[in-house]
Amino acid sequence: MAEIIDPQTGKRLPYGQPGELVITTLTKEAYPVIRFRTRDITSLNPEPCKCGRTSMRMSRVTGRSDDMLVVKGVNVYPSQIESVLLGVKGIAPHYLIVVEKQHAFSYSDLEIWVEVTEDVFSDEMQQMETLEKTLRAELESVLGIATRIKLVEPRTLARSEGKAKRVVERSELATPGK
Amino acid sequence: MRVKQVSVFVENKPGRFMAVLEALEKDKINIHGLSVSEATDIGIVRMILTDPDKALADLKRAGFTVRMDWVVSAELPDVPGGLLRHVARPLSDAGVNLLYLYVYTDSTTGKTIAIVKTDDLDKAEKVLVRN
Repeated sequence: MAEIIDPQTGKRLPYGQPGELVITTLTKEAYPVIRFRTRDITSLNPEPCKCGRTSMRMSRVTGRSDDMLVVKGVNVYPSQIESVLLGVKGIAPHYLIVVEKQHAFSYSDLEIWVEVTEDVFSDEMQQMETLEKTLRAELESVLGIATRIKLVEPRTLARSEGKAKRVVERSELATPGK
Repeated sequence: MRVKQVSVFVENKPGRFMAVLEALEKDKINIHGLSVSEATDIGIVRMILTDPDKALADLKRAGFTVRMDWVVSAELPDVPGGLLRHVARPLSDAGVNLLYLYVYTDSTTGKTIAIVKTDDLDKAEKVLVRN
């Protein structure tokens, strides 16, 4: 059984209106769920299909009500990335996630830009390389996928009041190539 | 002897090195020795300057990530074999490992200077003074 709710208020929305898909299983034995919030944004259509089928239809998923991404088939939350960065001494949680588009909702590549502050800056290049390697290893261990790290100068990543725009697609970046 | 070296973190893209120099222009700080170390996305600019403390402050104000480090400064004669006999061989014989090195000639004193960072600065200083 499927419902659409307003992700902010939780109220049920009428058919045709986009909102968060909530599902309740009716016959499943192994993993039954009751009003499980999928966090996918879609809309429901109860009208019978031209082919004759009368089951409920849903539109293509247009986004998420949370900030989860799918990269190389794996679910990734920016909060995971943030927790890794906070765990590395000296790194501030100012980051930018750059994704490479694959299909509608899944990305093929993940690059994370991290600001270099005085706490982690070294005059020795090998220390900077080690820093990059450490971050990559930690992230891979937590996220389950390999990512790339790009160290950037401080205050180049946008800060905003409240929710920062943490994820951009590579095509959106101002500078071509990087 | 030891001297102060200013290091600046830059991204490896056009205009960043220029921005470093522009930050130093206002206070007319002169750069004696300079070295740029590059990697795929980043660069480290290391400098020996007339006024390292002021340079550090100016660069910080300009928004750069910077640091000050002690490095060893050694004089050598500007002749073939100078670097080999007075710097490289003594350090190697003493088992000191070089991290980075760059050389410049100071036009005000006429002396050629090697700036050296090693894994053991005390030993490097001792060894190079002897030579």
